[in-house]
Amino acid sequence: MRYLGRKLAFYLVAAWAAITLNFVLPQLIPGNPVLILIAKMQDSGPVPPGEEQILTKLLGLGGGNVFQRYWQYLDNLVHLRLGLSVTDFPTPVTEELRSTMLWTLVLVGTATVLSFVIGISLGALAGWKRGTKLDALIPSTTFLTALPYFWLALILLYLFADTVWNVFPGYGGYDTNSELDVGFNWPFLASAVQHAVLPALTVVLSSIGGWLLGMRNMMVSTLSEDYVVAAEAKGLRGHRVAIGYAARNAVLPSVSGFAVSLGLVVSGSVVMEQVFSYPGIGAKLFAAVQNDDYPLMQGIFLVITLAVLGANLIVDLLYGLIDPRTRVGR
Amino acid sequence: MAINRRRRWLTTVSVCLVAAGLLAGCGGGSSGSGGSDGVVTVTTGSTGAFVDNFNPYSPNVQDAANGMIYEPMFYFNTLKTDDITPWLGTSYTWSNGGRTLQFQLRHNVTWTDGKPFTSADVVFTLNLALHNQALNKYALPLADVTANGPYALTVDFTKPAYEDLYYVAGKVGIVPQHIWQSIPNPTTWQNPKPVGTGAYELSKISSQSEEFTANPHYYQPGLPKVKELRFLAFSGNESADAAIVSGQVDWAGGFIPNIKTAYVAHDPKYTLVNLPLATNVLIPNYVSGPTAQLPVRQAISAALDRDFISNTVYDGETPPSNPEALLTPNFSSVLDPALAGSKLGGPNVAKAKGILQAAGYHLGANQIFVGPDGAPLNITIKVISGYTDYVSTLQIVVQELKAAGINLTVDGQSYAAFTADQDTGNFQLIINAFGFTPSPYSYYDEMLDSSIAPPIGQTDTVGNYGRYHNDQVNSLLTDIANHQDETSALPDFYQIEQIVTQDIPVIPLFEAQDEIEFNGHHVTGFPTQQNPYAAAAVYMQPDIGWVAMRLSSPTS
Repeated sequence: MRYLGRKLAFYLVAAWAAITLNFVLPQLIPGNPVLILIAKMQDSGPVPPGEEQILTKLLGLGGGNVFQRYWQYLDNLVHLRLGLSVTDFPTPVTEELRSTMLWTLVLVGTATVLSFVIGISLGALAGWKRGTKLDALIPSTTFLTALPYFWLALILLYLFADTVWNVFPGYGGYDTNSELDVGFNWPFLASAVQHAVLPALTVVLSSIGGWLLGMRNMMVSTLSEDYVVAAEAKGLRGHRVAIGYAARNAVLPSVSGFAVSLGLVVSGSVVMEQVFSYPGIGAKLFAAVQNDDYPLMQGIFLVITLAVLGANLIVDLLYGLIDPRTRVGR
Repeated sequence: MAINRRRRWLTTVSVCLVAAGLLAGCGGGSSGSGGSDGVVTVTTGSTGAFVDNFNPYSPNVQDAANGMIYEPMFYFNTLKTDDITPWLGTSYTWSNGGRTLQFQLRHNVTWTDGKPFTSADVVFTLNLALHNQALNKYALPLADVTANGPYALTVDFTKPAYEDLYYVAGKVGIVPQHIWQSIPNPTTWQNPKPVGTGAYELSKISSQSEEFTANPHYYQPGLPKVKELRFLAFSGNESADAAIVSGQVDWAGGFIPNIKTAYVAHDPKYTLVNLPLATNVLIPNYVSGPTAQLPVRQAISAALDRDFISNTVYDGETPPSNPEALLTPNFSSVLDPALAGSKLGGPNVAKAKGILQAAGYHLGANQIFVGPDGAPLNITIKVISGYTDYVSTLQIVVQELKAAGINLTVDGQSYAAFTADQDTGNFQLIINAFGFTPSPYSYYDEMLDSSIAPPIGQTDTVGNYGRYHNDQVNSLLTDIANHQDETSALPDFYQIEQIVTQDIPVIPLFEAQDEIEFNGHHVTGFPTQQNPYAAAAVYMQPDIGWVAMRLSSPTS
């Protein structure tokens, strides 16, 4: 119980620090949303004098010094009022989050889990059969990881959408040319899955190498542990030693890494969503940052923060179960 | 293509450059499935996901709201001065020295919910602006609005408002009183199911597409011609460009690098419509730094090879501007005949060097001029790093100025940082564009009026970012504003043009073209060089509605 209390207290402090940072960071971006809106309006005609005051009033901005605004911000957070987005004024931030979050959660979440499972399995195998041809997996997957993310995405676009083999759609979350109703119906889901293939492939290809390498190396060092030697000496079958003795222990560092990457699922892959015009939260965040859209940025950062902290907390607690050593305080 | 900024600035440089290389080489002549059966697909480029926001007062309203759904009283052709056509109105009359404006309205117009459109709706709309500053989108100096019967109204202004006609008659979309009067806070209402007088009605919206169907009871005979318009959302240039090139989009406003090879040569029916909307300029800081010196501005302007830049960066689609920085042919009606035919083109490096030497500069180390005060001529230019065409332009400018002994450094910035620096005058030189208006007065006012620009350090959101100051220009502009129409103030314009030629408050570059792509397999009836009836840009409001209802399917 003391373990749990200590952990919770730590996470509360971390949450407060993160929430405060969420407030501070957007304020450090130069300019303000009104100036950006006006600059954009000037792209389709001169803007009359007085527009700045009009927009400030329309958006309900300004008022109060930093501390008053900070207090206001905390007050709004407690009451779960995230305000209205500036980028899509007057859409509430909660609606922006709702409409984009699911896309990213499903796509990047699935891709991350897939990448973890495949990476760990292949890593365990490569570690178990070290010195064989399977070792070639390592340079080939780390090469994919080393490729710039957007470059990999563009290569996939080039190969599988449009130019070389036109097998997958190249942009969007679903087919906009046919009459589809967004919701839980087969035609839409089928289209959504089809559209998710290339973005998901980008995520999997570019992250699998990390898992594989980490797992393989842990596996190799675990295999030289005494208990593995003992298990082998006892005459246990190969796969029992590999999975039950070596892999089970070798996977521990990867699990904590997985927690972090699960939390980052929410932040999506900003670049991937840009390249594929995927209607997720990463593209939204990108737009928010470029428009100095404080309410939207804070809303998205809040969700990311809570997701990372939450995922870490759960894994921390699970870790206590998996690995009893971490429970024992000194 | 400075004009397509709206879709351009969402992309990072690296992605954009890579995409340019990739897509330029893209083959794949698949003709897309969009556009058949009277469906025209449209994109404004990287808009990001759609949200159901059709509040015309929102600064980020969906493009279709102003023009396709809500309509103004008159259509002002953005491409030409004083080309005004009735829309919801039929005529207007000024009186009382520009303080009173009377409108006659069309009869037999109905809202898409079947209710009749009357002067009460117009009065209500203008009263929203009069009584709520936040809804006075065009800062109109309104004093009073009254109806004169069901199809006429009188608008009183607090001061002569000839120059506000474009906004009050040509930009303000009229909203239905019977719906908006019960909205407690119109500023924050999303208006998800808009009811307008326009040629199109919203039928479906999701994050990736919006569908608008023709209004069956539209009041203009024979319009609209296309049954359905479908807008597609893209978040990045590369996917938007790919969709445009593959024929999935019929009407697009997108900067496609190397457009002649990548788009026009792709299919004989692909049409590139290129009608000028603005002038690209280098804006010098007129108050401090090296660019505050007239000889430096003259030398920069003389050293530039605008023809070469235009051919290299813009495929020759942007004709060089003129010394008076006037957008032609849009404003040719106010051009001083003595200046007609003056064009900027090839470079004159010897002249540039001569100007600097005459001003006491001498060549120092590395063949860079040193000023009379002993400081080398180093100038920094700020640019939005996502505007790849501007960045390419400046890379050439750096080389050209180096040949003339001027050391230029390019400082790429984010949109937000650039805007902040531009507005506060924190720069030596920036690159930007002026225009997007049918009024040569607004055009020069935004560029030159010193009464709109507070001193450097304070925020200026209106124009004249270089803080040019010339009292004579100010009084000429004021005089033009007091004339009912601009052609009666020609001598004022001629004087301003002469002063611009001498003072060089901006260094003109190009008549920035407005590259709009139409897929001729699916759509016809769009504005062309031969018939420039409207700006073809998808993001120009309300022009989008004026063009949309005139488009037709070549097969039907």
